[in-house]
Amino acid sequence: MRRASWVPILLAAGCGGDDADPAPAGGSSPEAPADFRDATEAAGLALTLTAGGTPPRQILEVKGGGLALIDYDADGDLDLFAPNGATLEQPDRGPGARLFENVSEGEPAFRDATTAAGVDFARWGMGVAVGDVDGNGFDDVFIACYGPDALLRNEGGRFTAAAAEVGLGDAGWGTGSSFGDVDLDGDLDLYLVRYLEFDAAAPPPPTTFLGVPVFNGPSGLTGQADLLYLNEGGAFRDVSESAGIRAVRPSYGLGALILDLDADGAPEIFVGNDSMANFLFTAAEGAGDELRFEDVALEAGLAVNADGETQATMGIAYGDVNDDGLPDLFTTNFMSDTNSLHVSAGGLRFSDKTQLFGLGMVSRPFLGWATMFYDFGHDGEEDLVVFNGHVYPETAVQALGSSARQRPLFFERDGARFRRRMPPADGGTWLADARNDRSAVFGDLDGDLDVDLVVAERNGPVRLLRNDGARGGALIVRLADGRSPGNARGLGARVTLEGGGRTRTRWIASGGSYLSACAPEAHFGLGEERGPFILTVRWPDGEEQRAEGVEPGLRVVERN
Amino acid sequence: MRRMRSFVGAAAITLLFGCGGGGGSPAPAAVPPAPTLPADAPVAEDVRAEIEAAWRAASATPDDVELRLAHAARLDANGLDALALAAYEALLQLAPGHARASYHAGRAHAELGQDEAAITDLMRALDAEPGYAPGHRRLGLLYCALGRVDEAERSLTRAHELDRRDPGAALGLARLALERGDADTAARFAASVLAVAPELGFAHHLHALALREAGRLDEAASSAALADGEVPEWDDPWEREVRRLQGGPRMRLARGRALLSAGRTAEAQRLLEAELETRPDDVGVLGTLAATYCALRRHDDALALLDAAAARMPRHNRIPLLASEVHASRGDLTSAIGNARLAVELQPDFALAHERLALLLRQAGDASGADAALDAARRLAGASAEGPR
Repeated sequence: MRRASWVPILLAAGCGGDDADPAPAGGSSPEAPADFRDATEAAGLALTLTAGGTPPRQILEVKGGGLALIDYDADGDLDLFAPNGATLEQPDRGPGARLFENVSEGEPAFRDATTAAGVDFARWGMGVAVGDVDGNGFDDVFIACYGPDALLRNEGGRFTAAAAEVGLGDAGWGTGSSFGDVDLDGDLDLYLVRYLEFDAAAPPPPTTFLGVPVFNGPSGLTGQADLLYLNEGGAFRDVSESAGIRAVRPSYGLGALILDLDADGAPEIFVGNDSMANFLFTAAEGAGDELRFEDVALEAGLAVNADGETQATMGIAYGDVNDDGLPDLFTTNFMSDTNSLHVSAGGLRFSDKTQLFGLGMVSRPFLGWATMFYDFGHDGEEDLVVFNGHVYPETAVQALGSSARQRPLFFERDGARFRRRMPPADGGTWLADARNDRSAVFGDLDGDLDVDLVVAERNGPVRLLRNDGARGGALIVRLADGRSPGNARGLGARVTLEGGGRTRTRWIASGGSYLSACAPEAHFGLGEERGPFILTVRWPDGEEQRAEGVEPGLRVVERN
Repeated sequence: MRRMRSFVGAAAITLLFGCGGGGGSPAPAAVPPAPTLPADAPVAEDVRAEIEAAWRAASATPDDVELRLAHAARLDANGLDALALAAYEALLQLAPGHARASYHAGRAHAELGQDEAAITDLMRALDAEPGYAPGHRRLGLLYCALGRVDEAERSLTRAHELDRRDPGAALGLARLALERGDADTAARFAASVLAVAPELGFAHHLHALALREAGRLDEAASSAALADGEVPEWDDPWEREVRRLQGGPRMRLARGRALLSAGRTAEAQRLLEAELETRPDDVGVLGTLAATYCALRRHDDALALLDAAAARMPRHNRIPLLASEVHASRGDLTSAIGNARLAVELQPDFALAHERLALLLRQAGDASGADAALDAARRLAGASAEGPR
């Protein structure tokens, strides 16, 4: 989260809108009649997350916390987990994590299962990653914390704290985290992103911005090095030093994505750093069979934007914006900067095409967090959503000419570009709803094959936005790898769908969005196409599995 | 480079007409009045006095276009974008073909995030003054930022044709070529700028990017070592006329820096010494005046100011870096190296400090130390080199 580098003088406080959104510019489209509908209350999702106080006084309080979609009881639907945060006064004793069991029948519905499932975690949780680390068929939950990290081991739908037992529990400030099979041995390793040195008991003094006290940092504070843990039979070993993760300078990290970006069969680790160059770890030249990475972000064009500037890099979305079968990366950034779209040019080369795709200027008034590509409308093209909210107290943000509460951005494809969908003039929809959002997770929560979402505000209520706008069919692909029970959901797999004269590519990965874990499945909007399609899964170990005659619906691809 | 938007809508501006301070005769009904400055506008007193004086002059002779332009420009110069826009637009009702007013209205629209209106105004200005190259460049860069690559190319090409020496137009074309995936063209434009301005870090950055995308990785690495990710502010005489009217401490410090950069050290010295009298504790003023003294070879005075700055902000990495330059300038290589090392110690990822240290170590005959520092600078190139704020 990078601070604005210059200061405009606002004419007078209160003259602007309440959501940092200027008058609609050209290149936007009116909202379609049907869209997302707030179904929070009807779904029984009563949850307000805590992340410090309001207004925030310290940098620790502004990051918000993640969410996770997890099928914790292995009944085939997506349940919701929230690690929740705490306050500066009691950073190790917050209101506690919550788990909601999905009991939808047509309409989305959830039931609080926190106690019944044995969830007992009340430290300051930040990021969350989901994966079956012991291969017992039930997904476990890792929580990156301010303070010792947690692993909630899932034993048949009941959780027990197991971090210390399995070699986790770093006491730094963990933010993002991502599971992935980095050594290709069939189980899930863990990359932990860390932010900076911060002592809640002796925090740095505040600084002022236009005469208004604001928190200090990240510039001037000491960054923390990230950690890479290898999974060795369900226990983890810190290999950060030997694997080359420590060779880079400690930075203000916020998120990580483990994905094979160059389609060479070996995963890369992309790390988004705040106000510092991003990392891209790939297998070091000459490493042979040894697990050793080197950072090639600068050479790959992912360290900075096209103007050579470091960015805040809060959220990470991955998708294929140009149908070339290679993952492109979109990152969200501070206001007065643009979000960035780095398009793969093959191999480990990326080009900043933010402007070309129409995603630059439109994002400048917004401070972006969670983001992801999905075909929400089922028109065959992936859309892009970004949730926004400022970090400074309202008085300071107004002096910046903005507001702490900001609208989401929703982009639809318009030929080779993205076009922002504007809220209707009379407001009243999710797009017009200005919030101080942070994290979001995406997945089909009510079993109707479209992608719903759950969004979390900083110190605000969690909202369930049900997708009522999708038209036409869809295919959801889940993986069940009997050969690698330690990564049965196939984190790191590539899924391609051929049909209708084109090939669409998706990836199943951990990480991305912001501090959160989305549904481990591939979603294809199909519109009026009925198939049959050809589905190809490239498993994390490189083996390809092809299925013909695939039709819209939910499909579980198994490998034995 | 476009600044952040402020979000004062046209409706709010309308409400400001005719209210607040000022004075003088009201404008005739047929002539739109110049907007007044609200009582709570966040400007320094001296700036307020100048703006209100300009308003009185413009209101006393409401059909005098130049007086209105002076008033609007003073609002513009002091960051009051929405009010400035209202003033320019009122002027344009009197003189619809006024090139500068259209141009500045376009700039103000762009500042306010009203891109289409900005384009319309800039095009109107260029219809009136088709030979104004910086205007074509500004329009081209705006199109480029909006991803409208064909229009961007037309405008930037026109700017380049009108002024081949303008690095902004050539680098705009390089940036555009990169967007289009034409790395060779991008490299060619960047190289053409570097041929005449080899010190331009942003040109090195685009050159490195283009070479990398063209697969010329070794050359890219060499260029990246000299790169600077900060987009320069390109020269624009019409805008400069406005900026000259900047007032207030922040603006004066920026002007002092600009004068120093332009080699106008005597003017910078006068301005900054006056500023130091009113703001003796301001580290920015202390540092900039120290740099000015260094340029005037008043080394002891420069070091005294830097000592004062360091006493106020002991961990500010640019202070020892500047001290290093002062010591080097007077031939004290040992102290220069010591201060460069301190700058590195204060901010280990500060590429510029490593680069400075490398240069000094090489001068001192420490080749291996220089190589190590240069390696560090290369490794850090592209990362933020900003120190604690």
